[in-house]
This record gives sequence, C-alpha cells and structure tokens, in this order.
Amino acid sequence: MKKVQAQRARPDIDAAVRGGDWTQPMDGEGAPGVSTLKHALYWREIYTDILAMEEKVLARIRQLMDTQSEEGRREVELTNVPVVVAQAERFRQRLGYWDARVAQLNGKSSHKP
Amino acid sequence: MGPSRALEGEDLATKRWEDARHWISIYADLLEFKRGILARVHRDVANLQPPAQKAAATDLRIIETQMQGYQERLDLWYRRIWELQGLWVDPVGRVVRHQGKEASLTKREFQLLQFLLDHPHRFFTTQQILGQAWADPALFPEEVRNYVRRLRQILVDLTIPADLVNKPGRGYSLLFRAS
Repeated sequence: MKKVQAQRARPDIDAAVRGGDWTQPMDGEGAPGVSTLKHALYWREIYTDILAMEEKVLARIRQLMDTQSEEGRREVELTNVPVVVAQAERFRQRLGYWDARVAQLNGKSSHKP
Repeated sequence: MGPSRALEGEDLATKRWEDARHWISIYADLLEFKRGILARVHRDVANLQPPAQKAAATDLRIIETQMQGYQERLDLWYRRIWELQGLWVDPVGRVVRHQGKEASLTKREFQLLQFLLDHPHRFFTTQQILGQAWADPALFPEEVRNYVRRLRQILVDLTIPADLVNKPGRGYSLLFRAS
C-alpha cells in the first residue's frame, strides 16, 4: 500500500491537552487557600469523583485499543490518550490542592488519593 | 480531530480497491471504538456533580468532534470505492451506470439512491428517508417501501455489489457487499 505522510500537527489535540492546565479551576471553585473546610471537602469530593471517572475511561480506552488495527491504535494514541491523560493529571493536581487544604484545616491529612 | 483529516499512510487517490476497503474498515472500527468510549463517558458523567459534569463535557465534545471527522473520512472512502468499482452517477440526467450497464431513474428513485450512496452503512427510518432523501415528510410511508423495492431491482439489474437492507427498529441501509 502506498504510504503518505499525513499532516502531523493536531491543533485540536494540542488545545485539548492545554485544557489540562491544572492552574485552571472549575466554575465556582475558588481558591483553596481561603476556603472553609466544608468548601474544601466538597471540592475534594468533586475531584475525587472526576479523577476516578477519567481513570476508568483511560482504562477502557486501553482495553478497546487492543481490538484496533495498527493505524487505529496509532490514531487513538495520538488523540484520545493524551487528552484523557492531560485531563486526569489536571484533576489529580487540583485534588492535591484540596486535599492539602483539608489537611491544613483539619490539622492532619485525611485523604489518600 | 479536524473534519476530514487524513491518517498517516492514507491516500484517497489510490487506484487500489483493497486500499479503499482497508481504510473503510479502519474508520468503521474507529467509529465503533469512539461510540464505546462515548457511551462510557456519558454513563459516568451522569453520576458526577454539576461542576464536574461541566468539566467532563470537554471529553464529550472532543470525542463527538473526532467521530464527525471519522464519519466524513468514511463517507469519502465509500465514494471512492464506488468510483473504483466503476459506479457513475449523473444527477442531471438521473442516470446510473455500472460496469457498462445503464439505467435511467425517476426523480424519487434517483433521490433515494443518491441519499443512500451518500450515507452508506447507516440506517434510516422511513420518516428520515421521507424528510431527508425526498424533503417531503407528508408522503405516505408506503412510498418508501415502493421505492426501496424499485431500487433493489435497479441494483440487481446493474449488478451493483450492494444490498438495500431493512432491519426492524433501525430502518433501511445500503450495505456494500465485500466480496
């Protein structure tokens, strides 16, 4: 089969990966440093749940990749995987902030991510 | 993924029938893959609290955009495979030629065939065909059955390697015959 080099730049994926910037809070989140314990616990739960979801999605992607052709796997590696990994990393970092805040307000760490 | 972006190694200008089949298979698999992921994300997002749902919507948008791009590539490959198969469609004269055989179609026959050729391997209900292929939802559903019967005969007469199938609950689809 004739091989043609496809355009490598993927601005859409680059943008999506940039969306994984962990300095970005969710709407209504506010800064951990000035939050109450109740607020910190709420956001810690939010990030725990969404991180768990992203990790399950990533596991499912990797599982389904086994059924793909070589070209299909490459496409998924290039598109889905970096996006989900970046998102998961963002949520993990944000969870870390809230976990630290809860620990600070409680005087001890009460959550193991 | 931007719509209609080619994958590495993909060459729509290929003259090889098996290349077209290869890429049709890859895009069909990718679409199935994305449907699986999308279903998973939809299910999981529903269990999140509203702020997290909003953040997770990014995943859904990306997957849906990618699927749209894959569907466009799949449609391009289907059109290409018809070209390589020697199928020629003239919308002005409403004539269809395939490997030396020719048929003149009525307006509605042609509209239905063109619609199904443009969206192969997708199922359409009677109402969707009335609205999208003929842009006349007021027509009776029996008309669809009538024209499907006529098109099936045209496919046979022109030895076009495709079947116009009907699946209960899903509707009609033009399925390319692999062999």
